[in-house]
Amino acid sequence: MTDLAVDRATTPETDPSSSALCVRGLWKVFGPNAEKLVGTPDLELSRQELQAKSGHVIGVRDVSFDVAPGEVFVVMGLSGSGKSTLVRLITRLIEPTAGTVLLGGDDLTAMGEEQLREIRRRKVSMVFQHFGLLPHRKVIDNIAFGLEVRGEDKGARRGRAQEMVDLVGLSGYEQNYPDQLSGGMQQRVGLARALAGDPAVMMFDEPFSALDPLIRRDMQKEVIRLHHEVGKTMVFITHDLDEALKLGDRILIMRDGAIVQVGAPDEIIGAPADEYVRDFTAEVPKSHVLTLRWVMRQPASADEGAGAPALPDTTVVREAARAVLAADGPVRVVDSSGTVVGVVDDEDILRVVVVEHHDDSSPAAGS
Amino acid sequence: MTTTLEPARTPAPIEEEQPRTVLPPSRRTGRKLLVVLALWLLAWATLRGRQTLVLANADTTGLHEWFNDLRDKVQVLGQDNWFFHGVLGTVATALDDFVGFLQDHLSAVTPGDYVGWFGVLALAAWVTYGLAGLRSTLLVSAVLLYLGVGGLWTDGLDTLIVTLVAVVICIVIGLPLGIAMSRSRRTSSLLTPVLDVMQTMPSFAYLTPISLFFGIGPACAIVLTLVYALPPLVRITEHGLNSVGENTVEAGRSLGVTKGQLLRQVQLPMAKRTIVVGINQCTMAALSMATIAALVNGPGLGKPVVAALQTLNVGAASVAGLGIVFIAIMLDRTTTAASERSAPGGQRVAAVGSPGIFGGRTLVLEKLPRWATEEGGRGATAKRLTPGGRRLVLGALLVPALLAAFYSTRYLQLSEFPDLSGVPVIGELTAGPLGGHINDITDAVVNAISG
Ligand SMILES: Nc1ncnc2c1ncn2[C@@H]1O[C@H](COP(=O)(O)OP(=O)(O)OP(=O)(O)O)[C@@H](O)[C@H]1O
Ligand SMILES: [Mg+2]
Repeated sequence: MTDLAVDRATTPETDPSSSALCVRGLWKVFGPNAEKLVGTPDLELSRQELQAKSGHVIGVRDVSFDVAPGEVFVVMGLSGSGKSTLVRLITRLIEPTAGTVLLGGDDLTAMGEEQLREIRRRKVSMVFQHFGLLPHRKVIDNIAFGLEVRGEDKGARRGRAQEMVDLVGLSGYEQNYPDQLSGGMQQRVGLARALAGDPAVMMFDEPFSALDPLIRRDMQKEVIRLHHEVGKTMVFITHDLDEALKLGDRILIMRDGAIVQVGAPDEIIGAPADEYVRDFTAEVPKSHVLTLRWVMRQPASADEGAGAPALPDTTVVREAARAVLAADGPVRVVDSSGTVVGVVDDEDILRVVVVEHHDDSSPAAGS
Repeated sequence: MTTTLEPARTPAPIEEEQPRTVLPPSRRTGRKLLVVLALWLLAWATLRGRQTLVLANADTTGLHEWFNDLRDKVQVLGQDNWFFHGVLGTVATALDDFVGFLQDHLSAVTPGDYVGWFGVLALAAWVTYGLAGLRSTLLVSAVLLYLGVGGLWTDGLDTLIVTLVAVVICIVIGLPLGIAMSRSRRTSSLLTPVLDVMQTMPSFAYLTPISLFFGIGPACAIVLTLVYALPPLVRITEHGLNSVGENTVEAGRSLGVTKGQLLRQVQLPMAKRTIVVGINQCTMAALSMATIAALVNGPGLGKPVVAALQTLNVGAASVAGLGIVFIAIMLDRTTTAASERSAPGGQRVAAVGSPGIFGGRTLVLEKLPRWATEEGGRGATAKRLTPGGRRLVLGALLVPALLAAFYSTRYLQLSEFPDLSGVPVIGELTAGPLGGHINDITDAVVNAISG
């Protein structure tokens, strides 16, 4: 399988000017003399070593990636791995120590205060883990706050805010105050506030981790729905792998401030870059994520599986299972152009499904 | 757009405030202690035996003399110096005139042109009802009546006038200072020691210099009060603004607020509760200067207290002292109720600041009538008037209030508080008998103790 692994972590291949967001060589070092450390060998040290030596803490270490327009880009990592810092560096809520951020082609890191404010008002918005709502304002005025800040008149912003209220399903609660709403509803307000300014890119910093599981699932569906409806580019931070797999077109995994792996969900599961990622993904039901591309083998002869219907290589194993098991022999796998790229038989499918089943049942039942 | 990207470029610096960097402290305690010890030894070696010994009563050191010289210079210069005469003199005259104006209209008993006690009572009740509600109105009326019955009307109202003028000046100076301190750590660390000195320096120490600058009278009393009452307001304002949740501030910044917008639309509204606590503390501090202000001829209840102390008349001092306490309770409860009423939906903002941590308020004031604040008592659950309805009621009530004010300028009985000492029951509350009772009790206790 590993021979198919695509290592995208080191070389972002997209053209920077066509991507919605382009991050290059981004660093954040917390501490009094962070700027002076740039370019010194000290930055090669590990986090713990640097902290012991000079008292500086590395928040984000040399991160580069691109996000395509309309993509949902998920950033994952354990607590303290620098996710929140990364997402704040992008809009300079935290000032980067080094590096560049291009948003829709504009260099944010070279901007003055005035320009940056304009970008935050119109181009990017953010949804926070702890909502960050204004307790003294009604729901509708919270949602309209961003519009008010950029100077829209009352009629226009009320109208737009009302649209957002309806979009996120809060109709009837416009006149309530935030603390009269449940956590899930408060986060809908946060979502509506972020959407109200019609930004090009939306960022989410663990928006649902303060919510209970059922509400969280609702809200994830809500985000997927909104993504279909408004088609925004999204950068989504989470430490929940299920959430990442459900939402992400691509996933970036961080450890100690640095990138460990970037890739589509099936790449992360099918070809984990190292033990850290493997541990991270150990619990995931692989048949739900892996596509046929990851389980097929080279046909033994040119006409192997010729009798059965062909399946696209992007089919998820779980969905292909019935068709493959029903077929008498191996089934052909074709890529988007219709070329045969491999075959799968019952054995290949069962290896994924059964091994996983074996993993799931108690260890006592095995061996 | 650029196609060449230099990977490690330092971004253009911006002024916007960054989240505080929290780093583990460097442990150099031992070295710091050594430095302190060395400095002590050095000072001991060089200063030993020089101006560090006990002084006899009338002895002075160079420092004493320098201060006294300074005093003399100021006194001589004071006549025509641009600063002492020009600036401070103008301020003093303006304050004196302003307080005098208020005294004429509110507290002085001069029938004919000015509003008398009945009018003041009616207007005060009307204003309180409009700002704070029925319970506060009852409290205010009761306290004003106590002052009248106790024969403390003029002094009591003078205290109110001086206190309120001082508090207004405190707010005008203190809020901007608090805001400046919360915005810049440098301003904060510069001003904090100044505030410390203002708050802890014994007032007797700056009594004389200030009376030198401002002359004795209301102006001096107000400046004295300012010195003591300003620090709590500034500190609490700074604290209130700083404790507005990082999350909310960050959310605001992510939406592209300017500093001004952040202050006006996020920080000030969310810190409002705490700032009101600061204003309360400021008011209480101002009242606690009432007696000291009397030493520089400041008008108010301090005068009878000081006079009574000079004749060891515990009773009379207590009656006037109670007047100060009641005024304190009245102002505290009324301002709290007024701020609760103006907050949208009451308890909502309560979670933001936590006024509970300020132990400055005395225990007595904590225990005394909580019910007088609308939120604390049953007023919270009582049916409220709609805003429109309340405005209507208020408008209707203005008529009798104005009538009362008008008639109080015509009739002596409504202008000068009547002497009720002859009336049964109520008569016992007038200054003479009440003071007498307190004196009797004190005597009994003293006799019992000294056997
Ligand atoms: N203001 C700061 N000053 C100093 N160190 C900081 C600061 N903010 C973050 N850090 C450090 O940077 C590292 C990354 O923190 P960050 O909040 O980005 O982690 P995270 O991945 O978002 O974690 P979580 O899942 O808990 O939110 C942590 O080790 C933290 O201690
Ligand atoms: Mg975080």
